[in-house]
Amino acid sequence: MPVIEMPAVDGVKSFKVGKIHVAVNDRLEKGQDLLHVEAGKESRAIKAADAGIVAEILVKEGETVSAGTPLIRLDEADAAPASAELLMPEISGTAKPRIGKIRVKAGDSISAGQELVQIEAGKTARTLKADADGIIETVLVCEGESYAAGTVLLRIAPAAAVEASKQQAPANTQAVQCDLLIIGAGTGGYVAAIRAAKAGKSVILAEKNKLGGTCLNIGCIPTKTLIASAHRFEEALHSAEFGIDIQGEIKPDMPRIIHRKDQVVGTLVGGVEYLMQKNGIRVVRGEAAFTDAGHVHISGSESLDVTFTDCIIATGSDVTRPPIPGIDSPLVMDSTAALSEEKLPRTVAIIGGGVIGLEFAFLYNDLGVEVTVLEYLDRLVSMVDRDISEAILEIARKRGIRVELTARVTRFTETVNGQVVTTYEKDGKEYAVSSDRALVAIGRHPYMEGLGLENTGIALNERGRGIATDEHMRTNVAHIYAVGDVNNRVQLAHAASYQGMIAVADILGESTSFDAGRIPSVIFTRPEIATVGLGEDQAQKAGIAYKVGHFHFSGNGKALSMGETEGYIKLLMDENETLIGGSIIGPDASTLIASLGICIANKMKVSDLENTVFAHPTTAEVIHEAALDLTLGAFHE
Amino acid sequence: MQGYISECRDPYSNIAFERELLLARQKAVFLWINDPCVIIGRNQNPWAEANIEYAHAHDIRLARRFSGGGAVYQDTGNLNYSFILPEQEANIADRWLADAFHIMGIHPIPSGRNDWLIQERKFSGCARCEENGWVLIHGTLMIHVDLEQLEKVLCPSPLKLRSRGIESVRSRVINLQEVISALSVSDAANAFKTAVPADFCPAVFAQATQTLARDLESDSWVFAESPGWEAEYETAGPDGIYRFYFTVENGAVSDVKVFTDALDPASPRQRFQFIIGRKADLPQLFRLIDSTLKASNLRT
Repeated sequence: MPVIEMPAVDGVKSFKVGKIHVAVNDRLEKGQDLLHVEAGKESRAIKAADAGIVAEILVKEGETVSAGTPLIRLDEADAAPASAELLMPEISGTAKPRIGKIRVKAGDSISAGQELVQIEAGKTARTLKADADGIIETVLVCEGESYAAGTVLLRIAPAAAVEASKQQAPANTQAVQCDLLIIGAGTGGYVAAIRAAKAGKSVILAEKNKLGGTCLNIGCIPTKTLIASAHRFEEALHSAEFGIDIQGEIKPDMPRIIHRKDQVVGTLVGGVEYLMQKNGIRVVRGEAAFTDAGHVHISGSESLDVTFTDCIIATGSDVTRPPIPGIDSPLVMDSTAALSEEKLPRTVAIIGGGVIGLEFAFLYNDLGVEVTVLEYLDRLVSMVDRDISEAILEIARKRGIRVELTARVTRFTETVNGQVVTTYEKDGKEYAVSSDRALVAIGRHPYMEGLGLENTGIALNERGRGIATDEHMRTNVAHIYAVGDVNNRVQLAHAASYQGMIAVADILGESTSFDAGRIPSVIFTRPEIATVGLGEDQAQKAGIAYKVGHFHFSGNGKALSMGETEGYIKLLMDENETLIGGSIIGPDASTLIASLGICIANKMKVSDLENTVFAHPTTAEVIHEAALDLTLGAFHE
Repeated sequence: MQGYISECRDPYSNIAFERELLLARQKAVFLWINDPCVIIGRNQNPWAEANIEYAHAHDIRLARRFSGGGAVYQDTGNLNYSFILPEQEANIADRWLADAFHIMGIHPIPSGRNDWLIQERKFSGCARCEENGWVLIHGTLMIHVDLEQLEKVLCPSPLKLRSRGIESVRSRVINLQEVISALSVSDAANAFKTAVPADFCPAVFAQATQTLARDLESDSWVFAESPGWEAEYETAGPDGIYRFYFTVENGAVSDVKVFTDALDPASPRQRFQFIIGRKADLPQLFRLIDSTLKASNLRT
């Protein structure tokens, strides 16, 4: 607590206190006169060296003091200097200038020289600026009103007070505005962000977890990375067929496989971060929730209230955990946990024979794990044609994967020796399979929790399965869009990106519509399965007359040289000989499907394929052969 | 004193150059001509002053200047003059202007502090901007402006709005060619070059000027700089008449009130809450409201 003392003056020993100008509790400004002292007819003012509040006056008027005598004790606990005022200036020839734009509002931090208020008098415009740094306490006037010279327009707390108040309340919510707010930085969200930023929109991208979303972090990319390791292992085991002799033990090193997967994921996530920076996209880490249909609050590393012109919800999906007794056992994994499991199980039971379950089944099988797949339906991967389901079932069984169809899992039970027993019903009887681990892969559901959708009036799909959207990805609230898994149209990363592009196109006033027929689908089993456009089952259901051309990889020279002759291609054309769909099960299916995708998106005729020259020897020749099968008949079968 | 003649017809660039001259605190005179544009005063609301959609459709640019006063339409039939002077020497501008009129051979009558009339019709108006003790005094000079275009674009579309900005005073106007048919824009510019004691050279726009010009072209300057205003919109929804009252601050809707005679309106205020924070582009907002009313009737 500072005390103001009588300063020493050369040649003078004592002073008489004259007028004391301040009283207890007075707020002092730096340089303000506190009291006068007199010695030898010379009056001298003692000034405040700093701002503060008078706590106690230690001398009386008329008292005699000498150098060092304490005069006034200051309280600095509440030493905030008094606020400054911005006054309406005098303008010659005008009684009352009018306020134009007020550029600040209460609570704004201002810096010296900043423009505060615009005034106008007789066609002369003038800008009133800040003398010093500070914070606006109150705005006392209105835009468009006229005020006399000397009217207080603003009260401004000086910067010192700003500093003090900052220390008290560190995490203030910041209000920000943007053209486009995207919630979720997965393949739907971040692609939409780039598209919008390239078109000059200001974009905020909110992500509570990692950039890249499920696909990059816990989905497509990590599974493909693990599958790449599994293929190396499997090829090494069978290298003797190709005349390669490998001596010694060949075995997967799980910690290193997982480490490589983490590195690949890290590289890609870093790449997305770079893309966001390069395109000037503001990435905000935190959870976003609608407060109403025009505002979103993001709480995380920053606390933001975002006002947006348009919003895209791209929150993706979450692993579905069915209410099966025992599912919470540590021996029961979901796909996310399986991707980081550094201990390879010897045996595994996979619940679900869909895309995720089957990819894991082949992955584990390649790594030498004994796999049992339990599927509720009467076929595997039910989104492809039945003949392809049957083909992959046959291939899976041939590889030693045990598959039980129409199996309804009823409970998981841990055994005393650290196994998990998965009990299921099939054909009215109860069975059980015992394994080191169980993996539940029955699907994913739209992720909408905590989004505050109830504050917006956004309508959901039937039975609440995802956000309802039209073909432009609009929700029923005109400026809010939903893309990717959260709208539950097609649960695929590239479908999300495609929809993100459609939503942004709509925002930009360019009209494009979602066409599910263009979205290819790939299953990374061994061999791979890939489809685009209509399958036979779908064409039949839709009552479309079609013709189908086949070709088997066993008739393809390249496939034979690779030692991968399982599988075939199917090509569908309609009555006008327009290609309407294709399915491939076999080597390189994931790459070959792109060519069929081009045909179908561009409504090409079978003759277009027929007239295309395919390089020899390549697996792509099967496309040509299937096209020929539709017209002249396949040449090599 | 230095005189500058602009060879650029882009209003934003010229206003930016003029602004830089004022901030440079050097006595200067600047003569400039713009392609068709509406230039509003520092504290005006473009929605209240001009027919924005008409301007867009006819390639008439919309600009906000730094000086006060009202909206003007100008094209290449108009000459702008600007004087940059210390405040205490500002009176000399009147002398220069009077001399220039004399050289042109016209004898106008001043009206108020800022306007000049011939045959009781205005052909020149001026406005000022003060900065750091220096003043910019600038004005227009109508020589052969397209009056039909002027009439149409300075007639705001019939939007019901209440502006807190400065309102323009409508004046009857006259082109100087009606008085002296042979007078050209370059004759008028030459009159200034004779009347004002300055050495003239072409204006060269620095990078900073170009940057400022692009800022002056942005919505955040042209639209969002308006003092707050209110607008009203009435529309027939599928279930009744809806009336909206918007409050606009900084170019964006800060509040919306909804009234309707619909029998069973589904909490209209909540439904249109999303308007808040949107850019106050009125025709677009109105379309959005209409489509929302329609959409919410189709889907529940």
